[in-house]
Amino acid sequence: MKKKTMTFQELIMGLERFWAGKGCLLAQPCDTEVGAGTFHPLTFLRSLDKDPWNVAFVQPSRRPTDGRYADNPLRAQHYYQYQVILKPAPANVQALYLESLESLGIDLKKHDFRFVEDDWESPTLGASGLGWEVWLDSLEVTQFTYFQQVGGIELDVIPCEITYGLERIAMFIQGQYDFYKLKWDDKHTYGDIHRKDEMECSKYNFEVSDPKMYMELFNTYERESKRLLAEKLLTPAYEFMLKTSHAFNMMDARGAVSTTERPTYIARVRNLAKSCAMLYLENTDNK
Amino acid sequence: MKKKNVTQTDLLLEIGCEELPAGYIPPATEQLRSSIEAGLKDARIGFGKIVSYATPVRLIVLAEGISARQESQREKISGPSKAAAFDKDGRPTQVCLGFLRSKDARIEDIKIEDTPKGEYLFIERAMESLPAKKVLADMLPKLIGSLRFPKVMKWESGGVRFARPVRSIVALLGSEVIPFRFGTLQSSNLSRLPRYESAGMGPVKINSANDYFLKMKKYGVEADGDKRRASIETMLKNAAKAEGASEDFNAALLETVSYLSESPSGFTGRFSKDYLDLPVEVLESSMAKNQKIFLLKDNKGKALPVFAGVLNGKRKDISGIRGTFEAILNAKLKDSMFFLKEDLKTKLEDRIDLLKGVVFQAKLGTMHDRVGRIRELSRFIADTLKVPDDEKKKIEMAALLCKADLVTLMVKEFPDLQGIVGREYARRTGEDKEVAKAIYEHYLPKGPNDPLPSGNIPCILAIADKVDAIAGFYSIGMLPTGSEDPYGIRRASLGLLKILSEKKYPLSLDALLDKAADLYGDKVACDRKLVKSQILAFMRERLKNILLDKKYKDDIIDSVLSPGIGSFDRLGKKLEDLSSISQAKYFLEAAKVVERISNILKGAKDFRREDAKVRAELFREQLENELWDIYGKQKEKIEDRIEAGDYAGATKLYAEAFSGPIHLFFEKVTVNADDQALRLNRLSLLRAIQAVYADKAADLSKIRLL
Repeated sequence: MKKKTMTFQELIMGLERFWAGKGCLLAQPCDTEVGAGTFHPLTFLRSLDKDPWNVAFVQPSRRPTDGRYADNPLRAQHYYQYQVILKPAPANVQALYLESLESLGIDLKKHDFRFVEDDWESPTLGASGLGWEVWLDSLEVTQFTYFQQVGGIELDVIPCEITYGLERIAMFIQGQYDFYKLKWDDKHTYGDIHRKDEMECSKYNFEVSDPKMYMELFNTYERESKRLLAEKLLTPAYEFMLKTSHAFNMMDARGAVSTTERPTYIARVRNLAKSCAMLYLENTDNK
Repeated sequence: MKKKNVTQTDLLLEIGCEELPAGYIPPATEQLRSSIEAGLKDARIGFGKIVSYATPVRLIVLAEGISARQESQREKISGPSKAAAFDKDGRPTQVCLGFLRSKDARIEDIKIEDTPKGEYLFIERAMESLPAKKVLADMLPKLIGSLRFPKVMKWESGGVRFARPVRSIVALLGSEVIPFRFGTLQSSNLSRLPRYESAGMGPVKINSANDYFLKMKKYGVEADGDKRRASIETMLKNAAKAEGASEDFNAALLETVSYLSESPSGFTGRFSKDYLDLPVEVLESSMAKNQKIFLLKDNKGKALPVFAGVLNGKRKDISGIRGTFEAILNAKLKDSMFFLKEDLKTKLEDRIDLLKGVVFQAKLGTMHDRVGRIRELSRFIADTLKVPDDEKKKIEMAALLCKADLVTLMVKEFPDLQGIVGREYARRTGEDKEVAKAIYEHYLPKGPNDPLPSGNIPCILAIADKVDAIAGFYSIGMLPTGSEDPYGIRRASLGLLKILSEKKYPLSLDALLDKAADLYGDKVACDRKLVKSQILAFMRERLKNILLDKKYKDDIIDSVLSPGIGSFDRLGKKLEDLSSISQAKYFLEAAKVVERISNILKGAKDFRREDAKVRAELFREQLENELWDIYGKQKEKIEDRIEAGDYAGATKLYAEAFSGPIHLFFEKVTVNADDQALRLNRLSLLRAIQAVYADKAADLSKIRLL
């Protein structure tokens, strides 16, 4: 009898169960558009202090330039990450991660898995770290990073960030190498849920969006974030920083940012991120 | 004879890490060996053979024949003067007692020696000879922390850093653990199993160095990187034989995969023939970058729909693994096919305008500007070289298209394929064959062992491309320093000089740089003269090395480069001519003439070469008149020979004309006369004779005369 394959939603449930079992707080996604789970305040801000912090959550992620009109089996402008932060990074963190794969029913003895060097950097967040891409039979399924710097601040207590590409893992488990044909549950495919919006959003990001509006929004958001930083209102200031980042990505998708302007925009977001990091530490010191 | 330590044991150190970047491992392996060797020597511990090995997760060193203790050695410590150490009654003073206390010595240990400064106290005694285990416990953690990597990281609070987290340290002397801590990690006799045996790398107990290597073997770990590489090579060759493919594989990838596996095993898989339409370089790049697998090619270099991969660990059934590799490869190649189809919808020519959106360098403008300058420069070069009109047209076209592939999807995905993609697209859209070839070859040579561009068209374009970059970056002060070459300027300079000196074109750097500076125009504000002299000084250094590599003698090179590099056809001819006559009597005579004049001019600090003016009315000696006559008669003949590029002939004429008279002149006439006007006139006369040859042919004063 053939075993029933794990659906996309069962995969998420499996990871939730596993990491909750390892003592992680199960959080919910950041509700502003972000490019990755790293932008979630429960990652970015909570990485800065020295307190232990173990958290796991799904993060819907947007990368406007990666849109392919639902035509590419491996790339999309909207996808899902499963993000785990373990601070301080436990000595057996690689083994824990591999155990999580086994808990999903992946028999590691039957597969070739590798930790392939990949040093990670987010210039907009002033963050960087060292680590790997994890390959399962040459499919990149996870980004594994020991943060070294966040918001321009050199960390003392090192968090480990494990970012699963949920669609990639589902592909591997289901043996189905097309996003849109993945089983979300027993009745629906991933394509049923996301094909239409992927096409619409690709069209919007590349053809219809108004880059001038996004440029104005960028300026407005930046101004607002600065004003809130001056008021020492961290969370709203941080959220407006996230909005500048998304506005920049939207301009970028339209090719509206020239190569020379690019670093300037990135630096403007980074300055906000750094100020937020400083304010967070100031607040924790005063606790 | 020194007494040998009776007991000798083996030292084993295994640093167990999380996966190290492949490129870090070979240099770290050698560092580990050499630093253990240096550490043991420094600590006076005897040792035999030292070898080091590494896998992605282990750095291993084995030092055989470690002596049980440090070799004994005597030390001599100097103390205060006798006068300060003892009072008049011969009792030790506080100074003396303090000295003894600080050195943990007794009064009986003291010796008094007579030194040039007077009588002083000394202690001479045997130095402590510690057991090797204790010395190593102190040495090893420092040594681990001192290993250098391109990038290091922290993984726990506190001070230790390494390329990746260190998770186990096996440190054994014989069968005993050498106890120490590296950060919070305690050394032990527990190694870790390979991942294919135990994903989380469970512990395995090690009893001795010998036991370690037996256990590694038992679990299939090949610790020696060279052996892993050789076994992968064999697997690849066998795969190639089975498929009737060529046995030529990507060497850089082979090196990488040797350090991505502890126990390599090979397999082959296939991909859809539809993707064979992709340029072979795109196939190889995608495979190497995304999956670290090898493309199999036939003997003509054409792609076969087959790849070979390397796994970590041997498995009975790999059908599942193969299936996934194939599915991923097909998905990735589908992406590349999409790029190819999209890209080919737009001709290269129609992409040129898009280069306005690509910055070359912030101060130096866009790639579109750069292409404009490259066109002008290559036109200038083509005119100088008087190439036929049909070639000129092709050069023009190639210059226009040479950067157009930078705005293709394919090059955005595979930046290393710039030039290659351009060439392929040019071919596929019906551009002239030579134009297509030049689009790729104008980047050559990219490295020290790269071939040069193959014909006039790509060579001219390559020269223009490099001169433009060199002139631009120098003019904004971005020069290569030390080993740093972030803008590839050193590489471009070497490439440029190699092409020019190999092809012996009648082109001079002076003229090329002037033209390039004109083309930048007002865009960059700089002291043009200074910039040019900086570039030329840099180039001369490099050129000398290139010519030394070509086996020209260094004094001949110096003499030829001294008047300025000049045009490369002449430079080549000079080097050939002078090298071939360097043993001839007349060559040595000519060199002697130049040398003698050089020496006396060097001594005349108040004599400025540019002011030299010979006034015949000031001559007082007959020999002055005679020499001036010879000069008048021979000057033009010698210059004609030089002009004609007959440097051997010119040298012969020069020696015949001046060798005898000059020596006679020096013998009979006092050049440095008391009368200043007379002296300067004689120096001017000599200078004229020097200049006629040395300024235009070669400064033979640089020749080493035996």
